[in-house]
Amino acid sequence: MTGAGSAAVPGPLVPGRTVLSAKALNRVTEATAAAELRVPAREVRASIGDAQGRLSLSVAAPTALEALGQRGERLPLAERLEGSRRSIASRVEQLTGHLVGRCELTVTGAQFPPERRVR
Amino acid sequence: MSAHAAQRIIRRETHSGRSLGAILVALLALGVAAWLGTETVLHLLGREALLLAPGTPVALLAEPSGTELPAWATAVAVGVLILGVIAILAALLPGRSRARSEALDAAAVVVEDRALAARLARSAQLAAGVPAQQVSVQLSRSAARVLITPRSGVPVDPERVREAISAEPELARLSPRLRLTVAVNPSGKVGT
Repeated sequence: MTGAGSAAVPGPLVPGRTVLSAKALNRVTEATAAAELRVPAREVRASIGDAQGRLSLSVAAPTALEALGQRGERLPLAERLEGSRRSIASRVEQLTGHLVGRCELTVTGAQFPPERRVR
Repeated sequence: MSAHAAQRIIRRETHSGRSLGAILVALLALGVAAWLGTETVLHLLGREALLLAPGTPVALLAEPSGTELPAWATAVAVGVLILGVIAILAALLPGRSRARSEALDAAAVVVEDRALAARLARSAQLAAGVPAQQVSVQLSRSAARVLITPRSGVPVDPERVREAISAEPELARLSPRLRLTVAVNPSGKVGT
């Protein structure tokens, strides 16, 4: 972000720049994807590239599935994951202030949360 | 300082001198003339030539075609041709150095292109919010071309950068005036 470009930011204008490194963008993407897919962040791999001047996100992660028949999602898996992909993109955009031009989501596996005993 | 003197100084500073070349050519001509004179005298006295009797080159040219010229003659010819081309270019080309003048009443000001390009790059960099290595400036005699590689996800408005650069007071004083174009690289760099 440049001082000149962010008139909405409060406080006096100070020369300099704030930079989100590629690593920071990477971590934000991984954390966002982990929250979206409800899996631990350490199992998510993201890589960041450029897509015509915008960010290109590419995420590889497992997804959490509810145990069959329990509180199941109504949507088919593919549609649900498409929704996740879109919300990862928009959430990263919202968090970092960087425009996202492309987002690839590769689901590498499925995790089933431990079944809770019926009390 | 009179305007005329300022003009002269600016001209000297923005064009490379030709005096060294002129001196070398004059010395060469002097040497060749002296040698030709010596050979002629030796020939008239019936002595042996130092390098070549005066008639030899003509005789070589007059030989029926098909006979090979000696290798040294070809080498000399090529050397003379190269020297001749260099001399003609030096005489005709303006020999502008990488600098231009600024119009200030009181002084003759000459700006080197490197300094000017650095100035424009800095201005562009601040306006675009990108690191210095993502701005490149090309200067020609009457045009400046600024290329900005944006940071991925952070669009750069070339028009705003253009305005910021145009605001540099130095630009208005340059002669000739620079035509300024700002281009933004379609692909950005991540995390810079």
